[in-house]
Parts: sequence; structure tokens; C-alpha cells
Amino acid sequence: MSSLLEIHCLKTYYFTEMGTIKAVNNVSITLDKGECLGLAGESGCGKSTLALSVLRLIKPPGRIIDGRIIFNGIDLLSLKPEDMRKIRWHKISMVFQGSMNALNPVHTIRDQIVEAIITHTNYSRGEAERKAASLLNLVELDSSILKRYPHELSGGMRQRALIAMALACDPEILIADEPTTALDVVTQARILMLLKDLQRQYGLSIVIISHDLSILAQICDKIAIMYAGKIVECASVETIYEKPAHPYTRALINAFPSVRGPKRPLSILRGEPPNLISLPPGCPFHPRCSLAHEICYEVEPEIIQLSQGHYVTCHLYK
Amino acid sequence: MLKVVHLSKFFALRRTLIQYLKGEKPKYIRAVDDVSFEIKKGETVGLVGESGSGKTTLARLILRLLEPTSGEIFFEGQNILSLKGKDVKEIRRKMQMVFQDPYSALNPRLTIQKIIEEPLVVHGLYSPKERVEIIKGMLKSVGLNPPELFLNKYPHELSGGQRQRVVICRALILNPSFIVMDEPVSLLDATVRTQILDLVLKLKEEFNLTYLFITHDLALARYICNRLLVMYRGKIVETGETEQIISEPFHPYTKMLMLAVPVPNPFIKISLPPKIDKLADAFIYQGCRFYPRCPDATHLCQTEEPPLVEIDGRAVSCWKYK
Amino acid sequence: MYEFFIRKFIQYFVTFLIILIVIFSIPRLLPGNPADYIISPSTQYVGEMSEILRQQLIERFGLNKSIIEQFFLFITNTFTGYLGVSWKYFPKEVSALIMERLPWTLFLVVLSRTLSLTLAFFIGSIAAWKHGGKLDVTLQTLGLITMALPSFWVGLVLLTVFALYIPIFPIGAAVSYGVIYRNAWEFICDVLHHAFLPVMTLTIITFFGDTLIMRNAMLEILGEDFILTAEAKGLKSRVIIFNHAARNAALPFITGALMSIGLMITGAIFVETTFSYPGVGALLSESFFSRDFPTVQGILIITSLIFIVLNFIADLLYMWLDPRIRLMRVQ
Repeated sequence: MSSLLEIHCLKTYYFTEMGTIKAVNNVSITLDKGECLGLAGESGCGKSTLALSVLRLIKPPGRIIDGRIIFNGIDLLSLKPEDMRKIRWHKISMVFQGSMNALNPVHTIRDQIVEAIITHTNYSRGEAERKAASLLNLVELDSSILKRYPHELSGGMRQRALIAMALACDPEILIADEPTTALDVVTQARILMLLKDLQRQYGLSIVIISHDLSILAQICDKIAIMYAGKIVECASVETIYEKPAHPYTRALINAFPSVRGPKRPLSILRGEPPNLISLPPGCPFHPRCSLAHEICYEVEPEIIQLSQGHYVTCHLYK
Repeated sequence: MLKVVHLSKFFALRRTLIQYLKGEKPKYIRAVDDVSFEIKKGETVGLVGESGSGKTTLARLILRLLEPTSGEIFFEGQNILSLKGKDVKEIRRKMQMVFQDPYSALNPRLTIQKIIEEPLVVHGLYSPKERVEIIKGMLKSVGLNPPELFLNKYPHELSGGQRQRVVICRALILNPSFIVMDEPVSLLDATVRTQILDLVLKLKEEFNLTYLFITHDLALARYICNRLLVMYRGKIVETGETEQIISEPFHPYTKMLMLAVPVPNPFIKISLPPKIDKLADAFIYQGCRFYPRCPDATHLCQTEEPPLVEIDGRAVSCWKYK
Repeated sequence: MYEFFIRKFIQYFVTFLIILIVIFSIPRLLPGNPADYIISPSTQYVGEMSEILRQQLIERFGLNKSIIEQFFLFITNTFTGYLGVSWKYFPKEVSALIMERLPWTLFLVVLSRTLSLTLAFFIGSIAAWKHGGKLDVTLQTLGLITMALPSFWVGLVLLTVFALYIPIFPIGAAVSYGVIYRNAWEFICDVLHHAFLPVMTLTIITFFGDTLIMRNAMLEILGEDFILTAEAKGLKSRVIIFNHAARNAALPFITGALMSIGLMITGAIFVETTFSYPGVGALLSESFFSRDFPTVQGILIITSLIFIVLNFIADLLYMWLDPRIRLMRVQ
């Protein structure tokens, strides 16, 4: 398995009047070809910022201040804006939460998909329209949707249309940020199964960002747990669930009730998600950690490899 | 404690001018359609349904925030729909609500103390000094400790979890016996969610409460509810003890939900029946509501509405079960 | 869709009727008989008017009929296009008087609004895109300054500089006096020559306001999710600003723009007076001070009508441009 995307020591900070928000604070992770990576974490952990950083869509007052993002051997952060623009959507595309506003309300679905195709390829308009129709069929939407406007579609249909549009230029990586949040359970299940199909059939590499570990468990091969701008644990999905190492991972997994199997109690984690402007010294998780000891209050833990493909950032494993 | 009998709420759609002049009758959306159920004292009943199922409308009807089109609601034996004026106020003391968005539920211009004090003031209870003590005690009960720290803060200074605790505190300040909770944790982070759920369960014991817990998340409902009501498009399609429904769902919709709800376990994968979506007019209410999406539907299902039949202490509304 | 059209039409029609009622009532709510208003200026010149003449005037203008009769007469006359007879330029019909002047005002207004709004559209969009940049800050500062300036002052400054000190432009009027034109082209040139300064005045005072409105509308749009999607799609900046953002911001901008045309028809009064431009604004001012009520009334009716029509057009335009309103379907 070759690495398609390698992120090394990425730092994206927001410089606001109230202070510096260290949204992504020294994050390193890789994505292999054909792999489905899940980024899990609660609000404010930096997962969305990480995704936006890859496509260099960070706006002031935010800035990527350090690190490298290596895609196919090239550091994306070193590219000129014009070259980065060519990579966007063509090689790496993104699906945002399918809220009412992710699509331009005054353009038809056809126009928006065709626009993406024409910008990055040599297709003629006619060819692009045909491709748009076949993309919609791929996501189980009728091609009559092409002439509709976004507000005419239901939430589930909009999400699918966004996925179809994201695949318009046959990207190598698809980043999906909370792709199913506003959808009902059955539609959510279909979208997840669709993404899995795309991964299997087309070798598409996917990054899914979600606060919901249950859906990540369904389709991801590898999961990275984020907390306060750092990745605290990263492992294959089975390992995360069977042998979670970081205290936060354990708490997070046990925070999701299950409809299958016996009813088990949920773990209660005390405290609140951290304030990213004033992070405590040492490990950012220590205020909530029941296993914290002195070193955790003072020294930030390093990344430790527990086994092949299993990394954790915690003093317990030194 | 609560008994709902043949409750319905239909919303009429505005006619266009031409339709009005033609004398066409308005079309109705049957948000809640002939719903009947009971909640006994001390239960936590879960109302499960997707958006559009009518669960929020049902909540508002029970709290008398909406007037029903037909049907009756009995609370502690009284028909609350026939009450007027002062009596309605009395009922409001006993029935409280906690809604989904903790931010919009709190007046941003009032301090926490004023927010929680308001119900006491409205009902003319206690002297100002007594109120402060009661508020402090209640803040402790909901986990906002030390209470003095929170009295003078404003909602925007608190985190989501803290705000929801304030909402719960306000709901409890009048010592209600029944609380309706509509998606109380869906906007909160996962770890905060468990804190609030734990709090809700503790408070139930401490204050002897009865809950109606409304959610779209079946897993969540399983966790804290002892009985479930499954709603689909305005009708109750299945009821029963939580574990019974979870282990053996009867209604095809419940079965579909059970297959589709993701589980935090990579070894148990979701699956779905093949997609069925027969064409159906949104305003013609005939036959079983679930017919257009049901993989087991028969011709009877299209024309006749199945009644809610009782089987072994459970109930289901499906022609497969007689 | 026709539903929308008919409903709006009825709404505007009723609005127009209410306006007519108000226009009718105002002069009649003033104390005294309107006839006395005609007579009193005249008495300065003619001396005592006989009672007979006064009665004749009253009868002539129908002021002795009941209010209801007068009102019905008023409404029917208005809808047949008869707006009465001017008391100052007696017996010239008010409608004729207005029609002499209205085209000049419309000329100034349409020209200056088009210029101002078109520039504002593009510059406002770019200023919003480079939010906080030099263009943005300059616009805001200049905007505050120019919006505080009175229009006639700007007009006078322009006149003084470009008509007096550096006499490239004429001092006033719409066309040169007593000139015979050899062809249409000469006429057009002359008209434009005379119109240049007034149009510039109007443009200057409105440009910054328009730009800021466009900029603010754009800023709101630029915060929306679909702009992020457009950027993620790797589209060129130009495409994002104009095809995606401005296209959306244009909706409220255009409706505001159309309504501002209506406002300017009487709003141009200061500029018209400064440049002695024979427009409706100048006529309004003149008639008001000479107590020529029928003319005042007529101008109010015409301007209200124009305003309502523009509003209606704005509604239709909005409906045409915004698919969310155009396709109101029940799901």
C-alpha cells in the first residue's frame, strides 16, 4: 500500500482578537491509496480545519503556519495558488454537509456539475452534460434532477448530488465532512453504503469526518481520534474498537449507545471539551482524564507506536 | 399520568387565489393522525420517529402549545383541553419541557439567575430571598456547582452542555411531575451527551419524574427509555417495552430502522432492504402510511389502514399481525 | 405563477387607490377654501376680487360640490388621464405640464442611476472579495464623506469649477437657448453636453451608497457555504465572484436599485433647481410655492404611479431571477 497523502506536523492556527486558536496543532497522518480514513472527534477538535487545510481553503484570520502536506510526492503547501487551484476537485474533492447552502441556489444542478467538469478537463459542454447524467445515476439519482435547483431537492438528494459533483473530475481523494448529519437514519445508511461502494469499485480513497463513531465504524478502514487539535490515537477500525489505548478513545467509544447486543452502561467523561484559546499545559486531555498523573500536567506526550499501524499520544505507554 | 385519546392535528395548506375562487377545498397535512397512548407514572417513554413523523407536533399538542384538530388529552385524570385560564397555569406547573437547542431556549439578555427565577415569579411563588436559595439548590442538582459561579453569567458565556443543564434546571424549578424532552441532546457533543443523559436519569430518581423522551435516534431511546412508541407519518406504528422491540421488531418500519441504525462496532454492519419507493400522493391518506416504502406490502395495505392491535403487551399497526 | 402576478397586481392597485385618497385629502384638510389660495396671490396684483368672481372660481373648480362627489370626480378623472388644470399656468392642463418636464427628469435619473449602479455592482463586488483591503477601506471612507454632502452643494461646486472657471460645460438648462439644430446628432450632443454636470452630480452622491449596499450584500453571500464549495471546486476567482456570489447578491441589489429610481424622480429636485434643469422636481418646487395645487397633486399622482410600477417590475424581476421564488412547489 503506497501512501497517497501524507500530512507531516501540520499546524493551522486562527489568530483572533481573543487569542490564538490552535485548531490543528502538530498533526501527522497518512492516507493510503484505496483506504477509507475516519477522522473522529467532538466539536472544536480541529477535524474540519484539518480537511480545509489539505485543500488550502483556510481563510484569515486562520493560517497554515507549519508542516507539509505531501500528495503524490508534491508538497501542496509549496504550490503556487494557480497550481493548487488545479489540484482542487480534480485530484482531491470535498463534500460538505448537505445543508441548504452547500449548492448555489440560483444555478441548476447540471450547471454546477458541468462547471466543475469543464474547469478541470477538456470535455466539451455536451460531453460534460452526459458525464453529469451518468454521475447522478451512479449515486442513484434520476438524471431529471439535472435541470432542478437545489431547493427543489430533499436533504438526501442534495447530499447525493453533492457526492456526484465531487466525483465529477474522477478525483483520487474524496473528503466528506459530516456527510450524513442532517439526514434520517435510512437515508444515512444508503449514503454510507454508497460511499463504501465507491471505495470498493473505483478504488477511491476517502476521508470521512464525523463526530459519530458509529457511522465511522461502518465504513472506515482506519480511524484517527482527534482532541484539541491533535491526533490522540490512530489505528485500524478493529483495533480502535477492540483495543483502544488512549483514555479519550475509550471514553468516546463508550459514549455511543448501541441498538444491538446487550444493553451496557455508557461511560461518563467529566468536564467539557477544551477551550482552544487557553489550552492547559501538558496533555490537553489531562483535566478530564481519570488516569492522569503528574507528568501529564506538565509535558505534552509524544507519538508512540504500539504496534504496526497503531499510534497513540499518551504518557501511559512510554 | 398522561392519556392521549384519538388525538389529531391537521394543518391546512393555503390555497392559491384561483383555487379559493373555484371553491376547492384546502389540502391538509395530517401531522398527527388519530394517536392514542398512555404514559404511566414513573415511566420513561420514548417517542421515536424521523423528521416529518409528527413527533414534535405531538409534543406541542400535549403541552397545549398547539390546539388539536380533534381528540382528547388527559393529564392526571383531568381533560386538559377543556381547562381555561388559571387552571391551565396550574397544569403548566406540573408539565414542563426541555427542547433541542439550548442556546435559543435561553433569553440571551437575562442572567442565569433571572432565567431560572422567571417561572417562580410568574407563578408568584416564594419571596425573592427564598427564590435565590431554591435556585442555588437546583443548580447544584443539575451539576452546576458551585451555583454562585453561575448565577450572574449570561447564556453565551456557558458551554452547550452547561446551557442544557440550565434549561433542565428551569424546567425543574416548579417541581413538575412530567417532563417532555424533544431531542434534548442531539446538538451536544458525544461526551457531553452522556453527562446530560446520566443527569436526566438521576433527576428522575431524585424528583420522581415521568418522562416523554422524543428522539430520532433509536440507540439513544434504547438507552434511557423503558417503553417505546414508534411513529411514522403521523401515526403510531408500534409500541412496547424497549428491549422487546429492539430484540424483535414487528413493524416493517421498525425492522428497517433496526437494520439501518449504525452501531459503534465495526463487526456489525448496517444493511438495508432494497429501496422501494412507490409513487404516492402526499395528501391522499388512504391505507397504511408505510405502504410506499414497505417491502412486505400487499394490496390490502394500499387500501385499508391497519388498526393498532395488541399482542402480548405490545401493539403494532400492520396487516401482517392480526 | 399567474397567481403571483394577479395577487401582486391587486395589492398594488389597492395601494394606488389608498395613495390617491391621501393625495386627495391633503390639500382639502388645509383650512380655508382652496379658492382663496388662488385668489390671494392674485389680489396682490388685481386688488379686491369681487365675491362673484370668487364664486365663479369655486364653481369652475367644482369646489362647491360635496366631498364625495369631488372624490368620485377625482378618481374618474385620474383614471382617464385628466389631472386637472394648473392654477398658475391657467388654462394649461396639468398632464400637459408634467409631460413637458417628466422626460427630462427621467433622462437624468435613468442615466445617472444606470451609471452609478453598474459601477457599484462591479466595484462593490470586488471590494467585498478583497474585504478589508485598500479598495474596501477607501470606499467606506469616501462613502461616509460623500453621503453627508448635500446634493446642491456638489452641484454648485461642479458648476463653479467646470462651468465658471473652466467653462467647458453650460451653466444650466437642458438645451441651448434659441438654437436651431441642423440634424438629430447635434441635438443629441447638445442635450448630453447640458446633462453632463447634473448627471455627474447625481452619480457622485449616489455612487458610494450604492457601492456599499452591493458590498454588504456580497459580504453576506461570501459567508455562505456554497462559496466554499465553489472555491473547493478550484474555480477561478473571477468566476466565483461574479457567477456565484454577485449573481446571488444581485437579487436584493436590483430590487433596491429599481426602487431608488423611483425615489430619485422627486429626489432630483435640488439638482434640477441648481442646474435650472426643466424637470419634474423643479416643477414640483415651483408649484408648491405658488400654491398651484392641481399641479402638485398631479405630480404626486404621477410619481406615485411610477414608483408603484417600478416596485411591481422589481417583484417580477426578482421572481424571474430567483428560482426559489419562481418555482414554489409543494413537496
